[in-house]
Amino acid sequence: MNGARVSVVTAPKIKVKKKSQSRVIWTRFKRNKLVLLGMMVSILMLTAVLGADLYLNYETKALDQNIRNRFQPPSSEHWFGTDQYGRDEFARVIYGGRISMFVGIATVIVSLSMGSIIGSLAAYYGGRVDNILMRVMDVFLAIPSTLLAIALISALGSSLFNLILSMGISQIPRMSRIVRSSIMSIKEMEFIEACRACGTSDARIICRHILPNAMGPILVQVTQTVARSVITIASLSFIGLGISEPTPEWGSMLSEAKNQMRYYPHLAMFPGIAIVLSVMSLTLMGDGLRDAMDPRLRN
Amino acid sequence: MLNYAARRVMLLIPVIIGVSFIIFSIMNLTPGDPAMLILGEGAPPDALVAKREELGLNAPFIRRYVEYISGAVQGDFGKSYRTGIPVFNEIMTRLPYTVMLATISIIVAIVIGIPAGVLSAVKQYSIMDVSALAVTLLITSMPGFFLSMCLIIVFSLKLNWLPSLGIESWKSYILPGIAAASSTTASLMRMTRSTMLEVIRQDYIRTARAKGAPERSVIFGHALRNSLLPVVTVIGVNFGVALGGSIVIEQVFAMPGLGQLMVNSIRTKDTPMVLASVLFAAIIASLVNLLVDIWYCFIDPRLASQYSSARNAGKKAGV
Repeated sequence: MNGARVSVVTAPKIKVKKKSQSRVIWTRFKRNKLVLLGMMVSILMLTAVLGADLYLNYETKALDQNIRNRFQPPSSEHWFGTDQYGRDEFARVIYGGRISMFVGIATVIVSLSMGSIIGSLAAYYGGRVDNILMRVMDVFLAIPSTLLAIALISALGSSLFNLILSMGISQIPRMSRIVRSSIMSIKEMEFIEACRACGTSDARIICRHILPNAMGPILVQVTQTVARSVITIASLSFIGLGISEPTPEWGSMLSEAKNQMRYYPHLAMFPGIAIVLSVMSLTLMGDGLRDAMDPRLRN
Repeated sequence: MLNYAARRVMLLIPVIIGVSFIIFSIMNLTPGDPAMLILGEGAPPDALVAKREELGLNAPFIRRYVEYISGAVQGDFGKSYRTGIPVFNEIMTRLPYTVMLATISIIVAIVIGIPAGVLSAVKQYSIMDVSALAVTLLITSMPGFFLSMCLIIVFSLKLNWLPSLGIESWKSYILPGIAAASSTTASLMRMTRSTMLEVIRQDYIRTARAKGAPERSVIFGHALRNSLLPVVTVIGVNFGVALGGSIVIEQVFAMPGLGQLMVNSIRTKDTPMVLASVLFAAIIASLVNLLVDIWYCFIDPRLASQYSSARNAGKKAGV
């Protein structure tokens, strides 16, 4: 709305140090030990989940039922115990992480690509285009994103693809706003004017010159969206709208564990802790990035 | 001021129309034939045709939308495909539980989150601040339903202090209330802390101290009032989040609220019910946002005049 006016005022203050910027951010980023810890946990979980096939067998460990082995407490053979069908809880938590991370990243790709298109069109052309696009986004923003995702998934039916689609769509308004506001602050700068004077096409200016420079806040938003998505997927699966049995997924595992809560609370703890750990490490990384990129905190 | 409030209320109308249009179109994507759902699989074809005509399914999309909205304004949201009960009545019996939960969550967030945030900011890097930050980080990373399950395991299954399922007395609201309130409280606390930290470093705070104002009035009179603005905006957004969160939390505690209705209706493909419950939740969220926006200008008159003129300019250009 009044973003254009704000950007005129703030734009001249920002100094773009092209070569050293990423280095400066990295130095500031690693100064915070907690943030580094978050990054380490994220990388550790990512490798554990991506390399799962090297040390686990999906079919026999995570899917095959073995009723005689049900409800085992954690032991050296089954690190996290076994569930009510005798499946190895550890394998299911690891493979559940695959779904969460895959859907989380896919959600970001959907919402970021659509959000960048909408946000950059709105910011770059301004005026009527901006007004129409942002009014539509305002209406979408008025619907709480969980509700929007629930409505979409109930209409489309629950499958992995529809889950990604509905979660991605429900994040588009937020993403396009961030993209719009960060582009707004850049598009008035002199180097853009120089590009235009050289006769560079609009598409090239947006993709090659504006978007890379607007990356900071978008990157922060991306980590936060992945973190939020991990929670949303789990919530949707928990109420039976996301990934369903027998595919291991943290939310649906918790939904099953709910019925065994009285006698086997450990079945709820492991997938729950997995969610908390992954969301927490992503949040820490996002916070660290935001602080590292905040020009006001730069010394 | 009243002028501004009236303008905001007027701006709400296109938003509500837009929201209802979006939700109506989404639910319209639902595959399957409603006539078949009502009459059952083996219904004769001519009965299906007649039912479709009766439901107005043959009319064009826009016409059906307009009819739905004109009915909705008069409190007619259609009938359930499954039970035949008017949707509006069913929603009205469910709504209080969900709104109650979301309201508890916001009130607790305001009562605990803001003071805790202030305290954290004033005593930055103290033990209290660091531990509060750690706790809020943990809570915001925890999905509401997992926290609910932890609470049930500890307080109803192990200690046997509080009921875990259904609604019997006020005690039944304690655990769901805590579960719903924790994430909003945590995010409000973090927000208050960060804005307070920014404000405390401002020159006018130093001036206030220099002129000998007591610490209490510096913090609460000068700093808090100025840092509350972004916090208040977050409250509105958080109400929507809390509403979405309580839908999932209701499932854990088997509360007969809107969320349970929504999920059950999705399972039985009862589209009018899903449509109306999503619509109600979305409209309540925008109403609360409106209230917050109006409240916003009461706390800062300086901002109100500026804000309303900006809105005005935007309105002239766009709507």
